[in-house]
Amino acid sequence: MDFVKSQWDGFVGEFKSMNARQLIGQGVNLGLVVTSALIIWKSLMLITGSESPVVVVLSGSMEPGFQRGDILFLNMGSKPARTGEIVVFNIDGRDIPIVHRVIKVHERAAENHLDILTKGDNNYGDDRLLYARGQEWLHMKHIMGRAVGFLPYMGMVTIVMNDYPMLKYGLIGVLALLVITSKE
Amino acid sequence: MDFEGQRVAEQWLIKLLIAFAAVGFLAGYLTSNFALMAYINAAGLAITTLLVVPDWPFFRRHPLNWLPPLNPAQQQAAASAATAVAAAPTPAKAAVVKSRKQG
Amino acid sequence: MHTAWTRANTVLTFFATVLSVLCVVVTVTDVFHKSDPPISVELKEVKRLVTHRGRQDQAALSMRLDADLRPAFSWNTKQLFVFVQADYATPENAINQVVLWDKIIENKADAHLKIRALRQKYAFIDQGRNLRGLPLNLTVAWNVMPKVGRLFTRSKTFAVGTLPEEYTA
Repeated sequence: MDFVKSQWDGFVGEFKSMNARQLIGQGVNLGLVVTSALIIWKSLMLITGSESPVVVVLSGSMEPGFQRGDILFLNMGSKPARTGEIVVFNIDGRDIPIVHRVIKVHERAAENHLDILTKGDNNYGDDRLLYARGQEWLHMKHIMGRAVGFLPYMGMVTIVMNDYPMLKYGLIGVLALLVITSKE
Repeated sequence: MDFEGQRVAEQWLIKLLIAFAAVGFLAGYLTSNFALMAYINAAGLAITTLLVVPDWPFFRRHPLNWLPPLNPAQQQAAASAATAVAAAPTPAKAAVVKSRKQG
Repeated sequence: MHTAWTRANTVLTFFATVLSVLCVVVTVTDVFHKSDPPISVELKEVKRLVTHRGRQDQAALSMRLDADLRPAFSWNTKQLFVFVQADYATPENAINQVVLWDKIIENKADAHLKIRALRQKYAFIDQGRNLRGLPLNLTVAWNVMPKVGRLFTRSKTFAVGTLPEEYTA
């Protein structure tokens, strides 16, 4: 307990020892950290052509290959969807994207039109029940990326923070405090 | 931990983690056992943390040479010398203030 | 590195850096893992060739599959998603791909598939009425899902014969 108090006093002391100019400087530091993260994210969106270049797996519908908390790297590309590909798509009216595998493709000879059917590896039936009312097929416009890379467990932080929002605010608060009171 | 100890600790940190990673990778790749690589890396993290983070005595072999502590008489003399040095600029400051008011 | 906290912080962040480099190296080793698994698939019989709701052709097939996918497993392979699909072209559709059967293989030991009577899992329904007399290609494909890194798919296609000219009973 004394240890915690001495650390807290250290933080407060650092804070008080700064004048207005230094405080503003540290604020700018914080802003720089946030904006560089944003720059990296937006560049990834541009390079991969996907709205969301990195996603965390939220459901168990692709087990045992993808578990909740795993990270997927997405790439869109211009090639049409083919069976076997794991795609991330949005349904009109739902905001959470779904990560499932393509099991049927019918591509029309004349126009650039694709009918796509998907299914989660761990589900019994295909995704027609998930699509919008009356919609039998997905089209390329619904698809925001294909899974090209995989990293296990690294997204658990996101899942835990979604389930316990107070943790998210607490973590952001602690990080901001550390950036503001650091000397570099 | 003194400065030399900090430098040595950082060197060990880098070398140990890289060494365990390299050994882990080779061991796992050659035996086709991914889990083996993971365990060797975890062990490397534990051993490195144990060796580098706490303030061990072997990191304190090059302490700084502080001046020897003064006895009470020497402390008095040192204190009055310090205040004399601090007081010296003030007559000059007063003279500058006076000349500004006049000119 | 004045306090234990700074040193602990440095240990953790450097460990994270080392791990990321390791992940990249591991997935690169998969590039050098070449495999050519022996595979054969045959059309055993066409059990039914009927119309679906009167407007589309539908077929029910029985197949025989022999696929030794053990060479496809590398040290970085988490599972293989194997599937058999029908590939064909019709006047309306340049490309049709219909997955008929799939299976997940999690261990190298279970990767030699020898199935004498493969029962179709998913409906084979054309968007038109083109399945009668259709020359059929069956593709056996396996999606390699890694423990870390890049996902990729390999496949082999076989011409297995022609579907009946007339509807069955």
